[in-house]
Amino acid sequence: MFWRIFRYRLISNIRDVGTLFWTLVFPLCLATFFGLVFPNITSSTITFETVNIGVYEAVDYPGDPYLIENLKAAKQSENVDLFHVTQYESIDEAEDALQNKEISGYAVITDQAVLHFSGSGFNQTIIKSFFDQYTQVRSAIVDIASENPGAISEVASLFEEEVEYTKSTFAGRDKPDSILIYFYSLIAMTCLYGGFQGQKEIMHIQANQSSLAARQNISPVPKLKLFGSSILSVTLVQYLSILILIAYLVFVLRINIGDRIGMILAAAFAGCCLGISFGALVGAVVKGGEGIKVAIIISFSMILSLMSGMMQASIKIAVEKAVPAFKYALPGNLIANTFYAIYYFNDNERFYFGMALMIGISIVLYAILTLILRRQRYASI
Amino acid sequence: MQVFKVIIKTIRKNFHVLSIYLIVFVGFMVLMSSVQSSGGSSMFSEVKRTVMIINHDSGNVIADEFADFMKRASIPIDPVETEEEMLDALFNEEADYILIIPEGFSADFLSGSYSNALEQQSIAGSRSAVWTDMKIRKYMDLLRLYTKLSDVDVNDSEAIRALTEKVEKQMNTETVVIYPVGVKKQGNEFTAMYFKFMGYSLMAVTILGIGFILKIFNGRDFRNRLRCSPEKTSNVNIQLVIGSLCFAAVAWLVLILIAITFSYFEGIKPWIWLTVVNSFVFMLSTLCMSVVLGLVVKGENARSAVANVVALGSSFLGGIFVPQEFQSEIVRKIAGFLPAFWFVKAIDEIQGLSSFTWNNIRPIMMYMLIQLIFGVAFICVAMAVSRERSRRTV
Repeated sequence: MFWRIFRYRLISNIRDVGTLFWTLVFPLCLATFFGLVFPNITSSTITFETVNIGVYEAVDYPGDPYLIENLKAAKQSENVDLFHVTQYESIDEAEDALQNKEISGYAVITDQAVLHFSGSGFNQTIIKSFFDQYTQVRSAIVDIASENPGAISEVASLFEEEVEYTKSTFAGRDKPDSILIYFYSLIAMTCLYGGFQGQKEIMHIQANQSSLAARQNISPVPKLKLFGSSILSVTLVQYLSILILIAYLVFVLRINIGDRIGMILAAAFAGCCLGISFGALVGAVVKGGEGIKVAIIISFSMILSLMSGMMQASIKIAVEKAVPAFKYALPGNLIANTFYAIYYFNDNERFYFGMALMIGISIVLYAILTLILRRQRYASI
Repeated sequence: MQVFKVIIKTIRKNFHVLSIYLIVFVGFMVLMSSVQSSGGSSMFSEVKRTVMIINHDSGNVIADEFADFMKRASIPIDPVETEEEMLDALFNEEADYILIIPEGFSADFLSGSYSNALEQQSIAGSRSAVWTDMKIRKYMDLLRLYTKLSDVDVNDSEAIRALTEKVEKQMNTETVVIYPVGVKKQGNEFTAMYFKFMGYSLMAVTILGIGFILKIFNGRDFRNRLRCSPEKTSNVNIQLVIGSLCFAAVAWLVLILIAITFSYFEGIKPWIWLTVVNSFVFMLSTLCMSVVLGLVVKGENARSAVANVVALGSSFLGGIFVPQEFQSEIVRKIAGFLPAFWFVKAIDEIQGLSSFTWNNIRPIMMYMLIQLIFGVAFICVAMAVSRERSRRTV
């Protein structure tokens, strides 16, 4: 009987297009919007790209042979140049290129360098930093020469010497990428939307909530068996929805959420159970029509998604900074932070803590549900 | 005025749903606008990055002076203690760069071995890493130059301090920058951000509200009842248009009044009235789009779903949530088919206006005209759908 009910509930859940829209199609739509817009933010605001710069050397100026050479030789890394240098024959040409946004700025070199920009930004800052450094080193050499003329012969050899002043000690498992906060919160929202499924299943086993439940309650099937088979079917459907979303993120949108597949699957399952148990509890505790229950679930899900950074990553950061306990106390943040731990930390402590909390809360919610639902009798329906 | 009264009745009946949407959206918009807004500047200003400086070699002149220099050159962030907190700070972009001065760094630097290097944590290849590395190199190169070429006793802290002071003096030498007068670095003012987010709210509420109205008027029984009434079809249609327009205009007015209130506190700028006109044009085009959706989409759940997907989709692609400058070329091309894209483009253009000459205003007028053309196109589609429906049997 258990598997028969399970089978029919499964078919019914798969055919429930209305609920599936919110638990599957809507997250996929949001993921598409995120995927179209957010990865580009990373490349245009975070990743360094070679800066286009123009140079005009005045004809009557004998020129510093090292300046343009240094400008061209400057490197961001072994394979990436700091600047792409274009030399112009006249200032007008350089100004035209600046106005057409072909270059971020240009330098007019006479006895000193004068920079021309049309706006303030990162590229202009990098250009200015380079020229500042050049001017400062020149000024320092003059200063040293005035005090210790003999030392000047050593300058060239000093500049030939390559000194690495810094070394990276980054200990994260993968590259930091705050854009992932949006995708984690989307997964969290999908898990919490499982609440719709949980609420619906409770409605189908409480005789005063639906005619199907009334019919099922007079059948000789124990309530626990009815409850168990319903929840199992709905968990399977919801878990599949979350897996489809994750697969869409990874394989279609090419979002890197980590390579530890087993842990991702486990976290998705725990999040799914948390969402369903929350919805089921709302379905059992709240007295009133389906509309009120759905309104409560949707309001909570949206508030929790907002707190976990779905609309703005900085909201999650601000919330967790104000009340550090919210990292784990808010279900949306708890789910999102568990996925974050999988991606970012070599140490699995945070992941296990998140998993234990999600599973623990789900068990407590199901236990309360069982206590509420058992031996319910209806004098009048 | 029977038809108009039905529209008012429908809106009143669903007022609680629409007002929840409106209140939640306004709260959401205020939150988003305040988080994203930032001031502008009319001077060239260096883009600074957030750097967390942890000095394990404090008490030594070189380490202390260098740490002070980095604090002045960047936006310093309070140091944290654990490795985990450092990783969190990097991921959440609270710190763009974490710089750790190891114990014994000063002595190692003065000895000239440079084996005890500064430790850093950052996103490899990021703009922040490039910027901060440049700052560090700048300071260290000069300090190395002075320590190598000056006869300084490495144990004489006063002499070393004199060297760091010289470095500091050189660091104040700056290249001359010519920055055109009148150019204003575009900041995201609160009111401008609010106007953008208002587009989302306006779309969601209008699609839902018009959906409620059209649900009644497209009902089979109601339509048949109307057909056999003595009211002329043209009269019915005019009342329907006026009723829908009134509803959309009231929703727009509520949002505008909130915007004006905020801008009053921020200081009303002359460009705000042009933004109000732009939002009115957007309201008209959204109203026309809502009519098409209201005619095509049936069912309570489907309407809510479509309202969310269309409003969110247009907002993401159109540049309401994410600035258009960050969008890829392909996304921008796709978004060009959405009125929201031109609505945002007009706001950006209005915000960057330096003077109200016809040449400056012309592109804004073009963007508004494009929104109106979208509206006309939607009305044509709505008329075609409606005509097709009217041919069906009773």
